[in-house]
Amino acid sequence: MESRPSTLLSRFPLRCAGLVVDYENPELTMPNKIIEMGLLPGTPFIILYQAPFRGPLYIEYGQERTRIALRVEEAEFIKVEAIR
Amino acid sequence: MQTPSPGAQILLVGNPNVGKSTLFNALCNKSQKTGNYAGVTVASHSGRYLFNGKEVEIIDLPGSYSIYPDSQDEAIFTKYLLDQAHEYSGVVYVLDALNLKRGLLLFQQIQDLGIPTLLVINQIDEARRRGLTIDTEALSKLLGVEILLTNAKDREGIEAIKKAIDEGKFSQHSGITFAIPLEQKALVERIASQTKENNHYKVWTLLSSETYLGRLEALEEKLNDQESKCAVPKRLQTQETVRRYQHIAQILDKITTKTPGRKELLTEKIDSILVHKFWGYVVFLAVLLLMFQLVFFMAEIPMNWIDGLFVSLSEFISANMAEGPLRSLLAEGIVPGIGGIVIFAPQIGILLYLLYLLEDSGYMARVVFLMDRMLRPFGIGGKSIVPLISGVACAIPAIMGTRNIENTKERLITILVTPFMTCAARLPVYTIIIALIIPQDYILGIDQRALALMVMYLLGFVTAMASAFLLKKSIKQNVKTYLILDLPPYKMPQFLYDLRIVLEKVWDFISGAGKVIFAVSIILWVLSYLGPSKDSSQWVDTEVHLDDSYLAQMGKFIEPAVAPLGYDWKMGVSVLSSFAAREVFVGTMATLYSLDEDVEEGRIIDKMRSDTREDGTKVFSFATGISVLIYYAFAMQCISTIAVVYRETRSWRWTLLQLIGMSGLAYIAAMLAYQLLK
Repeated sequence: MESRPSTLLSRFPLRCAGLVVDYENPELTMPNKIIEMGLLPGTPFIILYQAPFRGPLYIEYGQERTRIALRVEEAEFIKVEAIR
Repeated sequence: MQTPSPGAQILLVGNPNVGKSTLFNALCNKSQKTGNYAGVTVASHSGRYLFNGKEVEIIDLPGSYSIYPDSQDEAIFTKYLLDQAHEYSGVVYVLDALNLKRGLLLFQQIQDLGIPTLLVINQIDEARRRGLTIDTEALSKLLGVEILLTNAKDREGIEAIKKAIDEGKFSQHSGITFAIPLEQKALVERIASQTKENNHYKVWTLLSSETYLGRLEALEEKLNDQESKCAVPKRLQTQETVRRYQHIAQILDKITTKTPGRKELLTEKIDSILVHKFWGYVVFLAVLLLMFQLVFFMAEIPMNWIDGLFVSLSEFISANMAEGPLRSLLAEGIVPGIGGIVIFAPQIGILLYLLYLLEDSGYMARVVFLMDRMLRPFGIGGKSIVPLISGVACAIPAIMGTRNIENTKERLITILVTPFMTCAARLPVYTIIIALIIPQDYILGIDQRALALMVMYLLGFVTAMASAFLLKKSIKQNVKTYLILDLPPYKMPQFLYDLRIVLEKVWDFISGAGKVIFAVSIILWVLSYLGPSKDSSQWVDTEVHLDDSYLAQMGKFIEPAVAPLGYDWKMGVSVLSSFAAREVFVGTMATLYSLDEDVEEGRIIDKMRSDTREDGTKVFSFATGISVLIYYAFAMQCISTIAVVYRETRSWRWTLLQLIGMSGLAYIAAMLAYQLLK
């Protein structure tokens, strides 16, 4: 039932509204902290900045507008889609 | 319900950046640090206050997001929470009104562990201003806990918290809010009956934790194959977190009014510059430069006062005491020795203060974001930048600050290279030597001496990076590394609180170094006052010439070892006496030169400058000076750092490797420099 194309957070464009859909975590190697920080499926987010040379992402998410930095490697665990 | 007895201990718990330390500060009038060296589990502050005639002790635990630890910091938190349960009478849990969701996760975990809790919601005004209303009465009923509201920043609601603690308004649950998944339910129940543990959540944590909470060895045996497959700790943790968040979302739906997404307008604006791809780095560099500028310019005036004070104290003693050994000990041994170190208190204080303010404002988290990618080729990450920068003040707090680095390899590398950063204790050595060998002149309007000092700071940084790179290549350990870091909204630093902590630290530095220098001064003075007798009827002579003293004999004994580096016996003694702490070098030099009657009276630095060797050349030639600078840039001359490295790595191998590596490099590099330049 894939209605919209989902992509990974690491490939998502800057300053576009998106939604966390699922995790890409078959080997269970994803740090649990991602979930603990509240980046759960269904959470809206926006990537505000990225540090140069594919550095960390600066994202804002959820109703609380929590802001965190995470690396591209971590962003690869997170499946997202654009909000239209 | 529990009532704290006199001397009750209360834990202050919550997520990072929820205003815990502000609340701590507002609660405790008598702040008191737990010992840095006692090896205790608590890395944070403990403080006390009196209420209703009873003394209450508050322990501020490191912030955490869940009871499952990811880093050393969080492990300390969990360990204290669970192991010391008999010590404290309750947990005051601090919740940020602006981020209830994330905070409630840890809160409910703690509640489910059967720990008595009291909930404090901070920043309530800020939430109201943003149109967020919280039905605290309903929340209190849903969670089954007493709720208090505060604005810790404005010290609002503090008395009410003290009163609630005094009245023992902590509530303890027997049931648990977390519904254990069906797949594990039978297993949990079986272990519960076997271990006679009534709290099913505690049993669950035995299954779901990988490290500290006690993934019991015995447990593995009790589980059959089928069960072990189901009980992959990581999967269980994920399940728990997701379930809890679902539950929390339901609660929040009932008690908060939904608001259209608010914006951190100020933070937004500031960040558009401070984390900018280009301007972000420009600002960071400017901040660093400004910091050093302030350290040197602002410190100059108080440093001159201190210098003047100690010189007149020495003169006063010389003028008013009867001639004799005691006068010589005081005026020429102890006073110049202590003065030699107190003079650096302003620089150290200003540096520490600026670092605390930056940390407090939320800027340091942005620096982590900016620098992460740049540091990764060196085997360290963004979180290492904070220890590296604080290493410029002192390696000891810097090394303890590595505890929040989750990756063990990154943390080890950071611990091993941080002592290369130019710490404040090197400043006295650098300042004196640079003043001796670099003439006061200007290149392109910049003070040559300031430039030389900057080169020394750069040398430290470059060496740290180079060794990090080597270590990355040589440590065979591949642990998955990650960076997930909260970027809190900017806030005004707590100027007074930070100042108080800085003054405490500076006093620690002075009294700590002071004690060593005091002892060293006395030993030096005794050894220099006495000498082997030329008269065979006596064993020792008193009031001998410095060059005939026992001290000189000992110095000359070690001279062959330091001669290739270009040092005379006085410098040899100074280097040796500063093995425990670098700054002692200057204290020893000051004592030695005040004792030497051959050199004219005056400021110690003038005495050093005019001192000559037997062949008439200056003792402090350019080559010797450079050799001393390089030696102190690299050598691990600090016993406290060695101790803290051992404590943090729990490995003699790494501690010794670091000591030998650093001091070996120092000796060889200093020797090469001297031999090439002389």
